[in-house]
Amino acid sequence: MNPRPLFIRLALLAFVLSSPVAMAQEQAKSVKFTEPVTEATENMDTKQLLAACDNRVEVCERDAVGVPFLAAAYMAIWGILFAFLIVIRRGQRRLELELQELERRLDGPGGSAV
Amino acid sequence: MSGSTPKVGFPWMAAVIGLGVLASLYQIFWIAPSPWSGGPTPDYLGIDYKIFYFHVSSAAGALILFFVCSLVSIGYLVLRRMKGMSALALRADRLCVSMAEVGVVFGLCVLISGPLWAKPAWGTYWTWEPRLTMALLCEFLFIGYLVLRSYGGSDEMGRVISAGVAILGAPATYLTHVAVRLWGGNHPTVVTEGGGGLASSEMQVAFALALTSLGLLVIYLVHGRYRFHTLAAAIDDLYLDLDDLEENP
Repeated sequence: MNPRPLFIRLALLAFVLSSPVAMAQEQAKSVKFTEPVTEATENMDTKQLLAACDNRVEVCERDAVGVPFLAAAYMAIWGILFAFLIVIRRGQRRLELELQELERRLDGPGGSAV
Repeated sequence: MSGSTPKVGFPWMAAVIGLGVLASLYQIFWIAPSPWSGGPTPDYLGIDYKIFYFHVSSAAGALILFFVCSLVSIGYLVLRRMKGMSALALRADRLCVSMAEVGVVFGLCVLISGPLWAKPAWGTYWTWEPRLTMALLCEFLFIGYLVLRSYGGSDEMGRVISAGVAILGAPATYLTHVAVRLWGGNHPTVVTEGGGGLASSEMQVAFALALTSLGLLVIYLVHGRYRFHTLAAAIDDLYLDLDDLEENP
């Protein structure tokens, strides 16, 4: 096996996958972000505890609404893409049958002329 | 003639795309944090925010395909008039059809996943805001293009008319892209400057992985459809030759 095509493919793959990740990480260095507290800890005072509790309730209520839509959207996206792959496969199968039909006609009487 | 099966796409690329999709799903659901908007007073956007990763990637794929399809259609119309370029023109035409097919599929993903995200986020499945309307218009335009290709005949006149329709896709896709900046609307500018939607590096990596894996899937599918159309055209030509030979041996 010639290792050169494999090496070229791996290099291409590494470039394609690593460049957006590296770009994203480079951009992220400049972003200051602190996620609000949603878990209670022992050293919290009452005000902090109530704020954490409020945040937690907000998260739970919002997620209870969002989860079915998230599942439906992902199923729709991948369902459509898989359906398209099946359509492509069926089209390919039709081409194979047409090729076989052509072969049969070429092998038949008069086919040698072609 | 060989009886070998025509290969559609590269098997190794399918494996890479599969791995890329799995990696992006892992990053989205296990690594990327729960989605709080950035800024001094973060709002909880809901777990349905994770629709964003493949919704925006699909939208990018569809819009780029529609735009390039329009440009290649112009190329087709120019090349068909040039001497000795008819073969290249036919290639351009087949590439247009392949891109339109894949673009419509990704556009459908966008138009289904978008309303499913809009319902919990905006409280409604659909609003006639500029970007949504333009995206729907683009989708209908290229569905019309494909219908024209399917039922408008495969002769040169059919190809020319459908290329004319595809050219309309270039301004339509551009206006879809800039709709929020031009006319406003509910859509945020998450990715472009000032959006602030991708607050953490984990979210940015998840988005980059989803974008890359779907980008590779787009290339894979377009290549597969292009090869399919090339083979189908070659088989049709062979049938015509064979019919001539059988009628006039």
